[in-house]
Amino acid sequence: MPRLTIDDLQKIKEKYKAEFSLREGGYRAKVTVHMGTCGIAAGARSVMTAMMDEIANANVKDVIVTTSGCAGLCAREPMITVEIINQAPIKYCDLNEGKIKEIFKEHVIGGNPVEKYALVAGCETTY
Amino acid sequence: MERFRANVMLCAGTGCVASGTMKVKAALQDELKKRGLENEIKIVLTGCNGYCAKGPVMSVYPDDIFYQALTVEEIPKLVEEHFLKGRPCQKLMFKEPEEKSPVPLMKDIPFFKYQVLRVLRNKGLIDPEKIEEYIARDGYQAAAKALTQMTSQEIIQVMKNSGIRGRGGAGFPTGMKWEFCSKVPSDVKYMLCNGDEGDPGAFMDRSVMEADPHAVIEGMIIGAKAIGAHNGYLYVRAEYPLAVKRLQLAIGQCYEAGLLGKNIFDSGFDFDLEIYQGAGAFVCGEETALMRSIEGKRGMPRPRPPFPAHKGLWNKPSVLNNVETLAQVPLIILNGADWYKSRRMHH
Ligand SMILES: Cc1cc2nc3c(=O)[nH]c(=O)nc-3n(C[C@H](O)[C@H](O)[C@H](O)COP(=O)(O)O)c2cc1C
Ligand code: FES
Repeated sequence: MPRLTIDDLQKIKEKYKAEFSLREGGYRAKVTVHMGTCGIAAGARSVMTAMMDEIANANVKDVIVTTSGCAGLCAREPMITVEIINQAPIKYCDLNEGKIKEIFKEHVIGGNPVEKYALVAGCETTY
Repeated sequence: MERFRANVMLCAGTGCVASGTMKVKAALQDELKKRGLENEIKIVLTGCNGYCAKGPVMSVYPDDIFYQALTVEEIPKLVEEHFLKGRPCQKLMFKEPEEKSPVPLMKDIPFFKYQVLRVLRNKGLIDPEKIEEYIARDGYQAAAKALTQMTSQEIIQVMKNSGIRGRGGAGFPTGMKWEFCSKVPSDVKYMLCNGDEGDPGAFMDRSVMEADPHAVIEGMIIGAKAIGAHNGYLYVRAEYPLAVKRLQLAIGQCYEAGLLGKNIFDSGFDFDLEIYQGAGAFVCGEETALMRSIEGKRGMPRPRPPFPAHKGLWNKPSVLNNVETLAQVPLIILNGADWYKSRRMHH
């Protein structure tokens, strides 16, 4: 590590922001990928990877991704729930990587739910 | 920078390491790899969480799920259920002794719920072996402020106004101690930290040194500037090998980053710091005995006066502060005296 200046302290803090918003809880949006056996069989892993890639490529630091179990609607998997903090969570169904790109751009970043892929508003807790 | 969707903060304080953290870590790594999750879930080793009796413990973020008494055997199921399928494992959660239902979230567990963390603000939240993680939590901002924007008198004034008293036992006002020493003219002075922690069964200083070593070092840098010292020793008993190891790593990182040594933050201020390992005698925690011990002599107290502020280590003006006292210094400099005063206990 080279000698640090006072500006460098701020830069390091900024660089670690994504990681610390996970730990400290200061995130703006949460994406839950439903990873029951049904979800995984229908392709939830690639939906998850697609979402992680979108986040990394856009270098967004205030969005977290978690998993949860089967939402009870196995026929409509893969599903995700997008929750912008302080807004109603939206559940999306029958997803693929292309739809993830759209949902990321419009809803996660833009704040506008993508109605054509949405199933319902609502969410279960993950524990 | 790589992106992970979850951080698993696995406790690697002395207690949890003794009850199997390293084996659990290896099992976790294996299992994450098997499931193809090694790029999604990150394992971070932390300092003590104060819950050693139920170790090894870990918390999972962003979920905030707390697990205790982990065993290697439980790991495959835990990884599949929680990290893959998002169903936290109830069996490993905290339960009240008389209750059947588990308490999943760390913030709901009574032991953690009422804690307001200040000295231990970074415990369990950072990897104590990485200076970047300390910096990400505002680390070294206070040192930067003290070295580049404040005079010694200003630092001492803030400390005095805050009302902070030493945590080493005697409760001596820290600002006053620094002021006495700052007024003694001398080319050579010493800033010392007491990490001897001789009281039987005590482990608060160890917890701080293991979980957040940079906080202690930052406090020493600020103290050194206040009293005008350019050399320091961290006195830690050799029976604290993990604390010694992490402090040593932290000191090395500071030298590399220019936070110790010459001209710190281009302020013109120099400070060199090293560790002195004590052999673990209770009496060496007493300040005059501690200084003799660093001098290589038998650790015996001597009568005061002269006080260490005038004649301390090698008869030079010196200040000795406790680990916990020093770990609060950065907070006081950053947040101000009034902030600290509003939180202190009334004497
Ligand atoms: C017998 C004896 C043992 C002591 N052991 C310790 C100790 O283990 N750790 C410590 O911080 N202070 C210990 N002290 C207090 C120190 O002498 C000193 O007052 C203290 O480290 C100053 O730090 P503070 O001003 O930050 O409290 C001991 C004192 C005596 C008389
Ligand atoms: S060492 Fe893990 S809780 Fe103390």
